[in-house]
Amino acid sequence: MFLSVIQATVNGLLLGTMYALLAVGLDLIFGILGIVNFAYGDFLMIAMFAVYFALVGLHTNLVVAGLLAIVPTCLFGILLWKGIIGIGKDQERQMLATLGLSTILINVGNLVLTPDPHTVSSTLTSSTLSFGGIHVVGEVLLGGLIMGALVVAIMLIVRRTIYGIRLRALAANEVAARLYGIDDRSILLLTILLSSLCLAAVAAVLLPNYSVSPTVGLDFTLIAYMAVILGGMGTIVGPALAGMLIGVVQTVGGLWLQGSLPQTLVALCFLLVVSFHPTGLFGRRTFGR
Amino acid sequence: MKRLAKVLAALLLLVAQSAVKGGAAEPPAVAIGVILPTSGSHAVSADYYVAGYNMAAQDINAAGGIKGLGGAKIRLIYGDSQSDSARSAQLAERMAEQDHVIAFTGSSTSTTAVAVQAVAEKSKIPFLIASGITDSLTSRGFTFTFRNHYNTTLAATGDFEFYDYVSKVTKKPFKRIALLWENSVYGTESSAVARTLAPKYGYEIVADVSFKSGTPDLTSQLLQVRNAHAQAIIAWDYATDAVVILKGMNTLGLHLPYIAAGVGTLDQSVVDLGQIAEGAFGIAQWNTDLSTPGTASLRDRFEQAYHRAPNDNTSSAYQALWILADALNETRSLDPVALRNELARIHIKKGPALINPSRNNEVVFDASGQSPSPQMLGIQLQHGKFVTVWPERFAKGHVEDPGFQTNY
Repeated sequence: MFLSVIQATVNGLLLGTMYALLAVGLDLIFGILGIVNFAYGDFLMIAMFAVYFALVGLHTNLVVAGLLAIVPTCLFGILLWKGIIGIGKDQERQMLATLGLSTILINVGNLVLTPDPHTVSSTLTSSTLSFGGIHVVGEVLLGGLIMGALVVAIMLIVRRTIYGIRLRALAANEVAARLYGIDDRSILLLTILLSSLCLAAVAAVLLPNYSVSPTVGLDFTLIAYMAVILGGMGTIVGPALAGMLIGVVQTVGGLWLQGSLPQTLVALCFLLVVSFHPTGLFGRRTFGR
Repeated sequence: MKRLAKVLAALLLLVAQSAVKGGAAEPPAVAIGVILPTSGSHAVSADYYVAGYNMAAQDINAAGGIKGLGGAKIRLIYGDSQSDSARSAQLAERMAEQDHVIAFTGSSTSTTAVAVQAVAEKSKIPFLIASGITDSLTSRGFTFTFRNHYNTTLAATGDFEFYDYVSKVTKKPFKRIALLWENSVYGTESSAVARTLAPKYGYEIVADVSFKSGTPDLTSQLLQVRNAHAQAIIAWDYATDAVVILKGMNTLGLHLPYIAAGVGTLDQSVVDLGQIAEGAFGIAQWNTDLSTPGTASLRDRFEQAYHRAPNDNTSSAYQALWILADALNETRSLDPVALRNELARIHIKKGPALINPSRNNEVVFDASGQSPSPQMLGIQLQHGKFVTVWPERFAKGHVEDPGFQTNY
């Protein structure tokens, strides 16, 4: 049993790095800039389909497919910004508008791409590495490491670069930041690009181990929001660690719990943390800017 | 002037004659309502069903329509239930009142089926379910509901009988089994039936594991299977889950026979997994390699139109429309109640309605409305193709053993 727990923990950490990157991508937009996007998971669906078509149609490798997927994801992000976010900064309005957008994307997806799941065979290797009875697929391990590196890189970008300082300044006080000459449009564009990079990377790692269909994003939207709020909005490191935690709780819980109970356990942890520490595990600010 | 009047009179006569002739040759089309969840949370790929119904309608109409009704053509009226029970009921009511359909058919989840079944019962219009597996669809006492698709009991029986055969052929024991099921009505009801049937077939359930469909990692659930030293897996899942399960089995080095019901395994996404999915089994009521009436034509036309293979939902839709056509041909009536009574006693022995293999080469319905006829088929993914391997009279290939473990 001990080995099973270790195996489940390893799988949880690998799944968790994916949730972490997903959460970081959302934290940039929602946690820092306060823009609500309930179609976030559907943007992941777009990125996954982009990876799928790049692999199947263009016969590229996974890295190139992932890079190509940034383009449509980013374009949808910009369209969202210009078309919906531009309407107003009222979060309730954003919630309703992006929920509507999510429904549209799913139904258009069902019409154009069919509700059938699509996947690809392992593009690099399906060979398994074994360490003392613990098995990890080489490709999954590599994906986990790349995603972990991306999380750290984004953390450093937000903390150490001039872009990061401007982003945080904009988040702290938009009017003052503008008075200081910060171009909010270019910062927002760069943030959408970074968020799209997160989604594209997750899509490239997820697709060969899962499948994409128009409804794939629903569960991931929920997980990303839970991780951001659980970890602490706008902290980057908090949502990343919360994503890892969700992954581990899900997989270790799956060793004993039936049906949806592993997911229920995650939701219970979320409720407990939010009840006793509303700003999340690492959060300092309050919800609702 | 007189000549002109004569010519005009002759022309009028001709027009009148042709109108009378035309009217006699074209009896009113028979409207059949097809309700499918093509959007919403349980959306199915409409192509598989629509193609089956459309091809059957084309074939019936091209062969002279329903002869018992003077060659009346079939007219299909499609509706999207949006996976919603209220919408399903509205659709069925509209089809009954406005379109005057003589029958409903389509695919259903349990919740949407109840809604259509209630309208069918109230309107006294038969409802032939062509897809939807749970036993309860035909055990609720509805007298206007029929199903040509297999149910859970037939599928679970097929699983056990097929594993007996795999065991015989590979000379390996697969009696210690793991049930792996998604926790919606589909998996819950199906696994319950298997749990009841297992002892009868001499199988011991050593792991009984449920999961939420769509979970991106199921290795922990598979660890439960491994820790129980199961020799084979029977799964009730969807294609998305089949992908995750087969990936997880590969990660853990768990080389066990895995069998899923039709829609679970028999999907292109599983084929796209390549080597790691090789040897996976499916239980279904039709496969593209069969020699049954209509199979080759259905497969070829579908592949030409959609550039992929049809599945047993396509054949089931095709079969359903032919059953309705055969029944209408017998009743020679446009009365839905007469059609219902004919379906209750129907006994089809030949023709395209036998596209799905049946136990006694016939299509009949029992008192509950369920057809006991479907012969379940054991199908195996071999070299990127789904090959029918069981029962022997329908088999197109042999069971391959990719190195199934029994002791580990």
